[in-house]
Amino acid sequence: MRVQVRDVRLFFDVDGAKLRPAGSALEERPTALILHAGPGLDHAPYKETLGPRLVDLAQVVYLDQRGHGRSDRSEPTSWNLTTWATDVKGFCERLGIDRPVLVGQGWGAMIAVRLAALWPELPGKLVLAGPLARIVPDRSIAVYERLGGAAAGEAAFQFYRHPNERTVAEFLRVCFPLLGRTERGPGTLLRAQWNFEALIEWQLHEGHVVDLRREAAQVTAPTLVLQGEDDPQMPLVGALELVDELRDARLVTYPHGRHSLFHDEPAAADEVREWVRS
Amino acid sequence: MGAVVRILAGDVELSFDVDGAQLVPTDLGWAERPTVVLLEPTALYRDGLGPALARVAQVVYLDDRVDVDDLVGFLDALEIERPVLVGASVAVVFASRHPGRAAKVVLVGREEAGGIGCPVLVVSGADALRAATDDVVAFVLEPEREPEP
Repeated sequence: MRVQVRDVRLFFDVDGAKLRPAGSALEERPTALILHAGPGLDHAPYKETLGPRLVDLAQVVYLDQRGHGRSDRSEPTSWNLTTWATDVKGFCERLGIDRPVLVGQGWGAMIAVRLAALWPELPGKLVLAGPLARIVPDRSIAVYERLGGAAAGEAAFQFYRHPNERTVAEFLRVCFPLLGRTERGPGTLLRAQWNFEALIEWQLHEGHVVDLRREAAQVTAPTLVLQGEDDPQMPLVGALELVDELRDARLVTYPHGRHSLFHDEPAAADEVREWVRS
Repeated sequence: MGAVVRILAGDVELSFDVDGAQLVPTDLGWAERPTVVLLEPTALYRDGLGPALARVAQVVYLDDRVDVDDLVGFLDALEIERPVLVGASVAVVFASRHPGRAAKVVLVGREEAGGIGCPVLVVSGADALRAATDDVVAFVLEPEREPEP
């Protein structure tokens, strides 16, 4: 399904009813709204990992952000955190989704923080998996080098320094496999509708300057932070910077966890389940 | 029952609920499942037919009473293209007035529904519908025949 939100049509998919029979009545369940990682990716990976783990507890809503997946592409000039966060707010208003549990991963977690800082009353709770307050390339480059050797460090360095098609291609070849510690089948890569232009554009512009540390202090929703200690893309030190500013955060780290937490660490989905249920 | 999820379809606000994804992962890609719209009174379906259909389709519970224009607005607002409609006369009138827009109709409680331009399964009433869950699931999954020239 797609729905008009502001100037774009956004694709969303749903699993698990909001109302379930409980005895002779209908019981209302929480809504978990998943904000996918990116930029450049879409909701696809969560259909295999986190979503099915939540569907017995909650209505799971998958949303493709503008410029991503099956949603309208819009214009690159609108590809920024405030636009994406405002779209999510508009999406919730359009469909009457009330106080969802916002689950954001990586860049999706940055959108969740921007949204929760601008409109603290909107989310009931937050889950931030592998979040960052700001992108500090040297931190990521060091972890890529530690995990994948000098070639990985160099590919990451070139990508952050000159984001373009050539450096992204090399980054995907050398660094992408390091984002998880267990092998992903080809279907995981093939199912996503990639938009590498969004990755390059965002990295060239907002990615260089974004800093959520101050606004993280505006977030009032209870926040669960899940963080892989070996995450090269969103390194632990950057997540801790964000956690320091959050008012009401529970941090869980995974000693060998990387960025693909929900693929590699079944315990991460268990944490989300508890958070949704509590 | 208050509004759960709602959408403005034309000038009216309609409450709906969804169970079962439209796109489900296959080995290397996606399977797009049919969308089944269960028309009011949806409480009939919550504990039997709805969950059974959600295993093979995307199920949309349309909680409010609608006329044909409302239904068009609702389907347009969510870009639901060729749903299977389950309900009473409004489903038949919709299919007749908008040829090709409904993939199939499950008609609850009326025995004559020929010539509306799409396959129809007639179930005599709510009790019969409960007993016919397997038949409805099979009807939804039946491949659509090419229209005759």
